[in-house]
Amino acid sequence: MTKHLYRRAVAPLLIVLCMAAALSTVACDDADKHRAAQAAAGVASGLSALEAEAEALYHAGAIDKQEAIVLVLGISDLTRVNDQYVEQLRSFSTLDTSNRQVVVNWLAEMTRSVDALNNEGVLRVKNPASRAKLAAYIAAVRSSLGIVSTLTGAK
Amino acid sequence: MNPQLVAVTLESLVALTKLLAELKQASGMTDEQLLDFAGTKGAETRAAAENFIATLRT
Repeated sequence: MTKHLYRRAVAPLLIVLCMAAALSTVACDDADKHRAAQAAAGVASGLSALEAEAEALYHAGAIDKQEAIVLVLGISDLTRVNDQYVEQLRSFSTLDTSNRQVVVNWLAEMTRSVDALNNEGVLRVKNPASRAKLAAYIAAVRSSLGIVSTLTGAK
Repeated sequence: MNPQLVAVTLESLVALTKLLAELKQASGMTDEQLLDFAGTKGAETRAAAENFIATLRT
């Protein structure tokens, strides 16, 4: 059982590790606003893929209706927060001490919301293989949030 | 192994690979392009989520 679960989960996790490597090169950019925009784009991509995954798992019978509803509502909320951040970033020509708080607030809210989605949605999925796949996407979103951690002083 | 599970696993790998490709592509974008990309993706995700939730509640 554990061996099979490991096999099912290992390939997605390897891809997430590649993703983390790709994002770490992205994070080498000097411009703070560019990094903030890259984080928003990475989060948007990850949430889009997570939503598609939740739908695919539901249609395959790998998660039930209630699990799917909790997941997709959480993803929708996170997407709304990210969209608001994107609109705020558009209005800034650069990131400096006068507007950096926007990034700090976004990171804090996104971190809280991703933790909530993970704890109340992903970790409550009964099927272990489905849970492992969804967790890989959560890891991808967290990797994108990591891009701005140096801008906000978060560790 | 359950064939349905194999199919779902393969779909997941395809989706994760697509995500990786998108992120690599995004690394070469300007700020404006990144924000446009994020905005478009966000709109698509919200629309998909709303449609899916509506389907689940009927």
